[in-house]
Amino acid sequence: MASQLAYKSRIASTSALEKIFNAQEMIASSHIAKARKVALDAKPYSDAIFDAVQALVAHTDDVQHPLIQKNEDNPRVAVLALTSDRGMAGAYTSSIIRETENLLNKLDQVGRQAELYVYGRRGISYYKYRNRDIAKTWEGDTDKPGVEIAEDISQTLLDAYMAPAAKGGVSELYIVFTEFVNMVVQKVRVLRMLPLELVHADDAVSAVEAPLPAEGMQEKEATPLYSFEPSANKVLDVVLPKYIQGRIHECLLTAAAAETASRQNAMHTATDNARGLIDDLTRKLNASRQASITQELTEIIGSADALNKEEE
Amino acid sequence: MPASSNTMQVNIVATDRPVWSGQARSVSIPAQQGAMGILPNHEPILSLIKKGTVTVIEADGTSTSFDVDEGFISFDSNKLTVAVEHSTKSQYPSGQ
Repeated sequence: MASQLAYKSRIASTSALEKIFNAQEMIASSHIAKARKVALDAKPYSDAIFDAVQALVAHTDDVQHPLIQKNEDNPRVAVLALTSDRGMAGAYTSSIIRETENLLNKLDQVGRQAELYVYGRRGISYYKYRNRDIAKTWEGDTDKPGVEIAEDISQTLLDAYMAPAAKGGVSELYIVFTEFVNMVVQKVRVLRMLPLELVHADDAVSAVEAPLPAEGMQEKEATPLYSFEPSANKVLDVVLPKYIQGRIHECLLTAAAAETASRQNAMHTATDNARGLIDDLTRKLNASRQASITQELTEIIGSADALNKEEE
Repeated sequence: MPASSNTMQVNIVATDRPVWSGQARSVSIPAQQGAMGILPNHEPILSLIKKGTVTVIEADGTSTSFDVDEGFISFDSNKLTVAVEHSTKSQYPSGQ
């Protein structure tokens, strides 16, 4: 049985850790409120863009735009993985990486060459360590991504997509990100962002397994007949890239919320574990103290008996 | 909201936040082909706008200006949405 001193020092260090985990958990829960606010603030804009795209698609029967249909046979595709900057978030980054690897294998099997884009320091260091070629990386603020980073990412990816195959362009864009379902459930999702499928984010789940036709515009509502200025095509040219940017921003935001939530969950579990460990160690400490007391008593009584016998 | 016939609902939204919303009597916007005034019950329209100033005449007659970046406006069923990348309330409004 370990010494009481050893138990005491282990209890002290575990309770110090418990305090850290608890603080981390509280920090994460305060960030969630912030992340939710950011997501809510961004919603009116993305709704406006979505409505505008719907109006445009309803207006023009056959939308011809490279972002929707690319007439080019090009095996190169882009994959964007959204990971976190910092650890302590449970399996957040590792499930993204696992899903990304799955996707890369799947694309490999159908003869596609995937170019990897990574956001988040953890993912970058994972792939750097394994010497994988990464087309471009971004880092910083994965738990509160601003508009600037969304702009930068979408600009880079749109440039890659619009470039001709000869100049290293890509024909498709996939995003691997974590969706924030609620505080307890976060789901890893693979979304085919480009060429565009004009359906709402929620319906675009199985984009990889079953690629929908490009004009997958089922939920056509009665949209008023708009007039477009300067012209429908010009408006489309401007609105579609903004739509992509909005969708990418949306992905970043839901990933940020999911990251914070999984960090909170992980820290909650860690706090619970630390408390359990402390209870366990305290019990062992008590037992070992009791044992040593009993032993001392036995020794005293034993020696007293021996003395008594001598006197007789 | 029972929109009276001489005002319209206006929402000005930027990428990261809603900027302003309320009832307005008229709005002038810097459309790509020159400034454009929008009154209630305008026909449905989707128009690109350039960098400039959006001026809103509110229901009570006060005028508010917003500096906007490139973006677009859409108007339908008496509701005007101005969607731009960045927008701020004008520091120095041009008077009435």
